[in-house]
This record gives sequence, C-alpha cells and structure tokens, in this order.
Amino acid sequence: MSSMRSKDDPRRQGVGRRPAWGLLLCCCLVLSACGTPEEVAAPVLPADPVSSLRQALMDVEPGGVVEIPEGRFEVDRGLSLSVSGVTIRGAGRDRSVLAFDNQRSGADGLLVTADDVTLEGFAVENARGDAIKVSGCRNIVMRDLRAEWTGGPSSENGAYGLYPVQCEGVLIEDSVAIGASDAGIYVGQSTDIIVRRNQASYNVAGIEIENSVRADVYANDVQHNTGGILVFDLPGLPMQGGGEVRVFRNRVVGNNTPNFAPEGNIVATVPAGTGILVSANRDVEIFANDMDDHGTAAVFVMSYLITGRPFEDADYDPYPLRIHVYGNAFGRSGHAPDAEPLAMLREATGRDLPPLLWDGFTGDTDAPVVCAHGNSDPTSVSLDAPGGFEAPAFAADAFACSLPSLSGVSEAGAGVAVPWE
Amino acid sequence: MAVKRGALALLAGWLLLACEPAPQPWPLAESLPDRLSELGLLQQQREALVVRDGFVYTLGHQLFSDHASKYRSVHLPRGTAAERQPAADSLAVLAFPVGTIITKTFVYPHAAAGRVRLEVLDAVWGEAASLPLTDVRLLETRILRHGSSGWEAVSYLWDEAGGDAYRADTGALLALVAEDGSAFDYLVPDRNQCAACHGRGRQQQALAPIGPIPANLAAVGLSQSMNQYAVWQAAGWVKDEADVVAWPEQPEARAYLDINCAHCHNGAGSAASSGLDLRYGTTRPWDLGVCKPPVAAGRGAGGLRVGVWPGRPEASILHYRLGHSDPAVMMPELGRSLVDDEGVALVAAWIDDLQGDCAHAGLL
Repeated sequence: MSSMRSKDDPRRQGVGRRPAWGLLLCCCLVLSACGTPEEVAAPVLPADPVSSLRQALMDVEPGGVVEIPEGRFEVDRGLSLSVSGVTIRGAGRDRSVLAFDNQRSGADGLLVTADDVTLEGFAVENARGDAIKVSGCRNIVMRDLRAEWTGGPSSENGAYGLYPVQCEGVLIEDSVAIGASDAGIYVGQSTDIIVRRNQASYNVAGIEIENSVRADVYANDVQHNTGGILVFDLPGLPMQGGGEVRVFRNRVVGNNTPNFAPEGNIVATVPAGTGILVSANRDVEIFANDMDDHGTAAVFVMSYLITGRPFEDADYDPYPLRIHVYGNAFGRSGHAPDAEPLAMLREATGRDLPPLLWDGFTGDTDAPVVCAHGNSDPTSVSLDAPGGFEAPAFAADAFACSLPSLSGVSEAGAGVAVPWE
Repeated sequence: MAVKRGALALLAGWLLLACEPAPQPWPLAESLPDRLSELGLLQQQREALVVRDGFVYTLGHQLFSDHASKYRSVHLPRGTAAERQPAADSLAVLAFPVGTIITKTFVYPHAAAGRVRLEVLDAVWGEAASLPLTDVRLLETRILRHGSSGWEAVSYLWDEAGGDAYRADTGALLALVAEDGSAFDYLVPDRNQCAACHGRGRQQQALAPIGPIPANLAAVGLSQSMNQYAVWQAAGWVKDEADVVAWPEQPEARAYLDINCAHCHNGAGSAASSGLDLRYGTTRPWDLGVCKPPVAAGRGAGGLRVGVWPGRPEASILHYRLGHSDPAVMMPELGRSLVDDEGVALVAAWIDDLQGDCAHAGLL
C-alpha cells in the first residue's frame, strides 16, 4: 500500500517518469557552464514493476517487445496496449502473474486495441471483468497464457478469460482458462480463427465461438465446464452469419458443472452437462472428438428460438443448418438432463437421452439441419420444442446423410506466418 | 539542423522559466512537456489558475466525474478558428485546427480534515482570464493537443505546493475522502485510458475532443441568442453562420446518454460489439437497447434480460449499470467510482416514459 501511495505523489510521477532528453540536455548545459558536471542527479525510475509495465505498454514502439518479469504482481487498475506489432512476453503462464484481486478501476485486466499483437507466457488472475480482451484487431496471437479466477466457479467471477472480439485472424494456443462466469475462451464477431491445444475448465462455457466465420477448434482439453464447446450465432450484432466452424479431435469430458452465469446472459440458458452446443450456426463440422460423461447431451443442436428471447433483426437466421456430426466417441450422456422438459422426457422413457439432441425448429429450407454418421452411438432425438415437447421423435437414423468437408483455417489465415503443421 | 533548433528552443524555454513567468508557447513539434507550466497556458497563482491565449468554456451536459468540478479552456493558434462539421447520423461536431490545445482541470472544494466536498462549483465561461481556485483542491489537468498527426492526450497531476503539475503518463488512483467520511478512488487516467474515451473507431487510435460540440456549447448561455456558441461565433473562434440550438430534438436523458456513453457506444467505436448505440441521433429502439438482450455483459447484466424495458427502469440493464459502482458492472467503465444519482434519475424517468413491452418467456 505504501508503495502505491508514493507512486501517486505528483512530484515523483512527473520527474521520475522520463529522464527526458530535453531535461538531461538542459542540466548538462547549465551544469557544465557552472563546471560541476559530476553532480547530475540520477533520474528516478518508476517505483514498482507494475508502473514500469504500464509505462512500457504506452512507450513501446511498433514491433517492440514488452517483457513481464517472473513474479506475481498486484495490479489495481486495468492495463492496456494500443501499439501494433507488439509482443507482450512473460516468463510463462505460471511464472509471470498479473493479479487483479484488488482491481479498483477498469473492467478488463488487459485490453488490447492494436493489430499484429502477440501475447505469450503470462497469466491474468481474478480480473473484475474480462481477463484479456482484444478488441477490433487484425492478427492476434495468444499463446501460453492463463486466465483464471482462482476461487473456483462463482457468478462473481469475471465474464471472459481470453476474449478476442471483432478480430480478423485469431490464434489461441497452449493456453489455460479457468473459472470464467461466461466463457473461458471466447471468440466473438471474428474471422479466421484457430483455437488449439488449450485447456478450459470450470467455466460456464469452456470455449465459445460466437457470430464468427471460419474457425478451427481442435486438440483442446475441455472438462468440468457447464457446457464444453459452444458455437453460437446471436441476433442484433454488427457481425452476423456465423459458420464454417470445425470442432475436432478435442477431449470433451464431464462438463456438468452447474450453470453459474449471472442471469440475463445467453450462456445462463446453457444446460449443465452439454458437451458441444451449436445454436443457429450454419456449416459446422464436429468430428473425431473424444467425449464422455455429459448429463444432458453430447451434442445439442438448437435454434435461437428455443431461448424464447425476442429479436428484431430481419437479417438474422435463427436456425442451425448443415451441422455435420461424425466419427465422434460420445461416451455416456443424457443421464442427468439439466432442463425440465428433458428431465421429464428421461423420466417418461425410463432411459438416458440419446447423445445427439435437436430442438426441432426448422426454417424454410431443403438443406439438412444435421447429418450424423460414424459416431459411437447413432441414436438421436428431435425434441419437438416448437410443439411444446409433446411429440419427441427418437430415431437411430434420423440424420442419415453426409456433407462435404470444410476446408479449414490455415495458420496464414489466422495471422501466423508459418506453414500449416 | 531541425534537431538543433528544437534543442535550442527547449533550452530557451527552460532558461526563461527560471526568470520569467510567461514562457514561450510550447513547440508543436516537441512532445508534450514534463511540467504543465512549460506549455505556457495555465499558471497557478494564489487563488486562481491564470489562462493565457485561450478562452474558458463549459458544457451543457458533461461526463460525470465523481462530482469533480471541471474547468475547461481552449487555445487556438493565432488567426485560426474551429469549423462546424455536420455529421450524417448524429449531431454536428467541431473541427479544431492543428495546434489547438484543450485543457480540463479537475478540482474539489476543500472540506475539513483533508476531505473534499462532492459539490460541483459554478461553471465559468467566456473570455475569462483566470479560473477561481478559492478553497479548492487542485487534482489534475488533462491536455488534448491537436498535433500534426492527430490529437494526443495526457494528464498532469498537480503538486499544489509546488505551483505546477507534472505529466502522469501512467495515471494514478488517488484515495480521496468525501466530507461524510466515505472514501473513494479518484482515477487519473493513463494515456491509453484517455484514448479509451477520446479514441475514435474500433482501435481508438484517432483521438478527438468529445464535449465541445455546437449543441452542447449552445446549451450554456445568458439566453438563446446569447448562448456560448453564439459568443464563439461572434468572436470568430468558430467559422459558422448557423443558428445552433442546444440539444434540439430529444429528451434530456438522450443528451446525457450521448455525452456519457456514446464515445464508445456509437456503432463504430470500442463498444460496437455490444450492438448498443446511444448517440443522440439514434432512432431505432433496438439500437438504444429497447428489448435487446445483453451480448457479453457478464455480471453487468445483473440478472436482467434486456437493455431497456420501456416503463420499467428497474428491469433495464442500462439503468442497472449506471447505478452501480463495481468495476465489473458499472458503466461507463472508466472515469467514475461513485454513482451519478441525478443522471440515473434522469435516465430512469426517460425509460419510464418509453412506450412498449418486452414480455417474453423462455422454453428451457
């Protein structure tokens, strides 16, 4: 506390902030005229590492690197970067920790509003709002980061862990997101996205791709969230028409944590025990995922209409379309549905629900809503949500069709100038 | 050669400062100085801040800043004037010429025992030569300068005893105590936080003034024809023949929302991803948040389902966030740690008067 107070001392701030050329030059000239150059006072440096970091984030030149030293640093105000081409680099996601436990100002831990930025090797803990938000960018790389609320799941936790929004070119890899009261890793209103080899747990949504186009979500370890991986399209946003999303080779297990999102948020409607949830997207490919233990469903395909929320967006298409689900190992699912109509359905049939659920809302189209084949369990149920869940249709081959594969996202597309692995 | 001349000018400035109270204007080519006095625009004398080569103005609607009083001055380069620029989908703005400097000084009236009074002082405007500092605590002066490559912003923290303010790029949180003994954090913004509000576009790279727009300047005055903007026109500080009316069309709450929210919530700004557009000219109810569900509000949604529920402020996220002071919940995100009760009441009354209903039910 005392060090923070001294930082607020205006004299110290002003003189210590920058050993400005003008000041040095002046002193030298004046002093040399007096013949005592040895007595030039050393400039006072910023008092603490957080002040130094804050200053460095503002003074860094495009293309420069800002280092975060090893250690745990208490930060009381949000940090931000608005210089393009910069790398912020720590000593590792468990070694360089920015701790916002006592954050008193600003909603984000770190806010980036710049292009071609790389964030790597540090953690943001216990931010009041979002941990790391990257807004309106081209080419963001987030690597070896950790966004965590360390007190476990709580509606008091911040909303998003790693949160690029309105970005063209997103790579999030080898990072960890824990405890977000909305989504651990959330990519919104963006294009050309790779999310791979991350660990997301104890969030409401582990990984969420929302109103975004062209995303590859693979090789992630997604456990103990309320919903594992969400692919959403919401109305009324500047960017619409989410789709071309591939979700593959992920380990999605035991996402049964009771929903702790603050009410009012869209993810507050996600039933606990949902492995992969697709809402109102088109062209989504879900394959080769290793799944198990989801009380509601392994894969749940739904329309925005099931939320019952109003929307006034003539351009918005609330229906899912061409959702291609194949070659997945579903494991156990449907044994503890976290939604009343689903729980009643299980009660009525005396059996666990099938792994693949569709709410039954259809738009005006001849294209298939879902195609499913080669999964560990071929059964599904169409819930008849439009008819008030009166006539659910169980089937073993309701979605017997196939769809062409999506082309996927190249690293170059996601803003990384190295060849595709 | 250019570098040498700059250094000489700098040296001259320093030497003059030592012996003379009125330094030369700070060169536009130089980055903003370490000490506010070096700018030569504001100088602290006993109980006043003397304003040189500029004019003092105030605004009809102001961003709420924890009840701090704000003194503003604008300094146009000699022989220049601002120009009114009509905007297609909102109110006209002013384009200030390169070299313009705008200052905003934050003060609180002193209370006993080092505390401050949360009372906004009488506004000062006109070609005043000084700003009254009688019995006030001088906190910071924020500078917006229109350089050759755009506006730049930085705040200076006052050392009252030393009679000068010092550049504070990294900002500060000042622990203040109100007269009633309640403590609050006063935020001096860091440079990036200046841009968070003053920046235009998604990346907030291009800064601009927010408050001094014709409609907001015209909201102050002795009469409609003798309003502050008319004074600017008559004095030639602004090139514009038009009769400008203060906040002409909408309820007062819309002006409040424009000034306090629309620097981010404007359809193209940093809050564009929310889909909420609170500019004065916005007409679509959905864009204003009416019956619109939250997008990424997190705890800010407060368990409420829509941004604005006509007739029901208590069911409206907009009202909830304005009335909160938790950094994770409150709006605006920056620049206050207290609640603007009057502003909240104004917005509540506006929501109360809106027609419509957002009733709906979820299936799951």
